[in-house]
Amino acid sequence: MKRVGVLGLQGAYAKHAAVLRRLEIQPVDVRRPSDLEKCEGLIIPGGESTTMTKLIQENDLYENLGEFAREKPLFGTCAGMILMATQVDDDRVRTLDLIDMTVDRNAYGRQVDSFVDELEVTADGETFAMRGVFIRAPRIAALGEGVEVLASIDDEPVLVRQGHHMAAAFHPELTNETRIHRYFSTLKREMSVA
Amino acid sequence: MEKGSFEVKVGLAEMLKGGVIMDVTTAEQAKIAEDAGAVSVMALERIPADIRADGGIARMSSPQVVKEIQGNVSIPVMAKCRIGHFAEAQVLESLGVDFVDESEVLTPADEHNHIDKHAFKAPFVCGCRDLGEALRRIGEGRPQLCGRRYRHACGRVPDDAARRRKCFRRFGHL
Repeated sequence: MKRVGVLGLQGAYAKHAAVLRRLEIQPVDVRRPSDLEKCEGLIIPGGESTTMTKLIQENDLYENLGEFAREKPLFGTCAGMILMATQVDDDRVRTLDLIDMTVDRNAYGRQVDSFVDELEVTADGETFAMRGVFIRAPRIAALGEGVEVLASIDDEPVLVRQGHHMAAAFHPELTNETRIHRYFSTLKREMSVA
Repeated sequence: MEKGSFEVKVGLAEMLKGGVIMDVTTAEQAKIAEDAGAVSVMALERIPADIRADGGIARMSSPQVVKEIQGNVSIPVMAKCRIGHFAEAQVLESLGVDFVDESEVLTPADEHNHIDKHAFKAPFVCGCRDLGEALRRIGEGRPQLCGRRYRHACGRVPDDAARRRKCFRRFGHL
């Protein structure tokens, strides 16, 4: 991918854009449906999922995001991961139903319980270690069969992929890590299980 | 696994970007703020300017109210403490407040020294009027900056904007 959108309604969008630039991918600030036309993929950043739900609705983006996702890859981190799920433990959050999983909001506790931990990521046949930053993180409570686990902590999945979509409970944009974003930029629709 | 590092403190500040943090004094107000789309709420005892006008001391919110607010919303809950009042900050941290605002709108407990924020797991936000204040607060361990008028929230937007601009310009020079 050469141009990747970052949903810029609220949250850590600037950090994702910075990682993309380091990979020489042009970030596109997505706030309106027409912004999506320029993008080959889209990142939904961390933030507050209740706030994002409201802003996505206000900006008439739900339908456009759903349509975009049929053809192109989406990557959600933290609140973005919540929006990627098929089920969430809070009915105020409207999800995009892109990855077959149930997600619980803020399941690791409040900010004083936010943490950094070593992760082992396996993607594209390559395994590497990285630091995962978890901020009031959501937890994947249940995963569907077609979902591949790319990283876990204590047997709980924290980085997953289904077809051309990906989601992380942690924040690769907050460390010096570029490999997760680079992997995302290689995803294609053909990877989807029909 | 590490908790309370500067990295996770700054991390939460990043997540709040582009959002509105509403001042609230009750759990009911907090709920209204959350339903309206706020990314976080800030617990206050009462409008600090009113407390001062009545000749009182503006302190942190009662722990009971902070708990009620935490029980009523799922977004991060912040609370203000007096400048230099590390005991208030410790109480707020033990309540699990997501951000402590060492705030100049409350009555200062120490005119010279701010809280040593490195000693806390909870992140802090503080106001600043210029680059010197901003750097001093960062040195004390604060991950989030907030341009502020001092003491009285009087709503003079041009003053506020000019101060912020001056601050950002000097950051640019750095």
